[in-house]
Amino acid sequence: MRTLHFTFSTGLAFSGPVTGHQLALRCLPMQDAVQTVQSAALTLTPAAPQNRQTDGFGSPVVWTGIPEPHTGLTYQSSGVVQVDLSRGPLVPPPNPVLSFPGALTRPGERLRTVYEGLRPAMSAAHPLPVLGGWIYETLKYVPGATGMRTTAEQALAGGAGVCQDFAHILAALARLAGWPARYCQGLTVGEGATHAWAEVYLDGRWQGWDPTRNCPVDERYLRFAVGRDAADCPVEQGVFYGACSQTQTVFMRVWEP
Amino acid sequence: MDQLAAHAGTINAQLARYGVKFGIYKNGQFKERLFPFDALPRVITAAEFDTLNRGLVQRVTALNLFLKDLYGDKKIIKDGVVPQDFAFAGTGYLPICDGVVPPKGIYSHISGIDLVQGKDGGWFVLEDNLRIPSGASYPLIARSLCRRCSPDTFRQNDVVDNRNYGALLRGVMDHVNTGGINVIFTPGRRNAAYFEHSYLAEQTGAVLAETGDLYVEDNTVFYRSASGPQRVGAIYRRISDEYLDPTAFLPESLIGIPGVMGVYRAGRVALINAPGNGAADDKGIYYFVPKMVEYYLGEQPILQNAPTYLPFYEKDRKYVLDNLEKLVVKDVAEAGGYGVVFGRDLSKQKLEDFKELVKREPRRFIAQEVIDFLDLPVMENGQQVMRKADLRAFVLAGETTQVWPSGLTRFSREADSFVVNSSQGGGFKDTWVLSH
Repeated sequence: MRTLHFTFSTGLAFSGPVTGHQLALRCLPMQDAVQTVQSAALTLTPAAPQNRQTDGFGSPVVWTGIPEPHTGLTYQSSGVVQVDLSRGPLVPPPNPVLSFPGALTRPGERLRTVYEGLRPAMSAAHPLPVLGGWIYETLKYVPGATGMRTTAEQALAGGAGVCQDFAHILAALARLAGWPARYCQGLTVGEGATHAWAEVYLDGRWQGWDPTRNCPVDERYLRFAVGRDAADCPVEQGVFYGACSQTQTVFMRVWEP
Repeated sequence: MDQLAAHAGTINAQLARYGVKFGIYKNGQFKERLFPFDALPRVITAAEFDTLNRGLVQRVTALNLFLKDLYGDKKIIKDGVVPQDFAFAGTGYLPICDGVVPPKGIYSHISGIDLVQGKDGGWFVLEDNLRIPSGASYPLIARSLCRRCSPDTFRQNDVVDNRNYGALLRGVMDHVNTGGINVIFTPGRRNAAYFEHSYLAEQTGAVLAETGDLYVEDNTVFYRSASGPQRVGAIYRRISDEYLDPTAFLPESLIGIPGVMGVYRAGRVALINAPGNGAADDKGIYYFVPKMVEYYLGEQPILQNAPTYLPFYEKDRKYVLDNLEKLVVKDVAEAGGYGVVFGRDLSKQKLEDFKELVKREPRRFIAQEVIDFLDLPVMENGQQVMRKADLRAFVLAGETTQVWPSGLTRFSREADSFVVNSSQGGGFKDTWVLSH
């Protein structure tokens, strides 16, 4: 078991005033058998009322809005979470929808072919290093090569992507093998930006693999949200009125005291 | 009835004057056109309606229980009655709705159940429409015009009054309202059923709101009225789920109510019908509805489905592949008469190609026997001709679940066509339920 302290912030700056800003934010830690949330808070600047809910996958989601004109917005979350993977076997069976692809993880010819090629090398007990290792070796990590709505199939065709794409491909391949799989977004120990990985439900517990770094997911990973793919659990999904451009600054830090 | 037929021209002229239109997409272009009305009504006897009534209430009750279960405990899946492939593989099930119990536990407030009558008089359900079924306003306004043109007709025939639709709908809205006004939310003028949205607002006394009229603040939905903001307690939204809220569904939607899903999840507004209902009116799920009736109610289904096969099951797949030329195959993801293929219309080559497609994507299709359904008389250029027709019955679930004693009868305007959908260019009739 580890105790992780975290702080995460995103600043949005607009080139002019915007109004009617509405957002759904998923940047608070999930509370479940593996993660025990000791404290968690979300601060908005300018201040705005928060409607805190839990979505269909158990991820905390906060709806908030700023109707008045504003040229910037910052949301910052922080807290303390105990992560204990040894409690994994207590995890209840997943939502059955996680056995099926979402909009961004629907397999096409390419994914199916890759899966068929990898199948002989996979052992039922430890399939993740095989799948994850293949993705790590094949896909180049190139920021900007893909977008928020790039599918696993498209990323595979392009041969490059970011952590979101790596995780999508892993989730899609695992589901082709018949295992429930979930895309995870959150933070890992260190400093920088948000991260994404995938977890597969095997032997009654969620087993995670980080295909971007090619390593198993351990207790230094902090989950904010899960879903079939990134479209189910974006950190931020929002709209505003105003013909302006937007710049975004993200910072996060996770540490063990 | 002859009196009515004589007035058909006047009634159609009146319908045009009232703007009773229907939009259709043809070759990628949106065209608005009049919805042709045939003055000869479909007549349903009191005894026949009694059976329909009981069967429809039973069916919609089971469908509402299914939705509650699917977005809750998922017992019917765990018990293996509905395979998870049919519940979750499609686009109907929306994870964002999981764990939400809508106000008063009602998911499908207005259900449009499409039925046909076989030549032997028995009724079959062809389709359940639990998202935003349209059509009630057409027989409603046609009836009122018929009354005006030919009042005697309704004195001489014991027709159950259907003018209570607005009151029924309003009752449903009031029942689930969480505090505030009732609103009908329309995507606007260019929607296929805009006439209906405005007409139903008038009939229910609800406010007709368009994009920009509704907004979310402090976990509450407000209507921007001329005299200031008004809290909204129930939204009969005539906009599909994916456009409803850009913070929860398609981020690029410009016609929704940003943030409404948060308010809905918090139980502070009713959405009519509930988002996510597509999980229960998918053409693949249709197959399981009679099983739901048995599972949830412990009753035998009063209304039958058309004989249906799921290529997903090996036994059914074999039957479908062996008998494709006499079956009608439907793509489960399509609606409005699109994606419907009659085996008998396919060339030998196309038939073989289609079999391959079914083998490759068995989950995508259902196949049905072509029901030789009852033709109804239709006036065409002064002549009475026989045409295929179906019936969309409207079932309203509020404090109780009730069937509107009328319905939309749609008919095919071409002699050899079985497709009656208004989006495919069909016409409509009034539906009379007799009081004896």
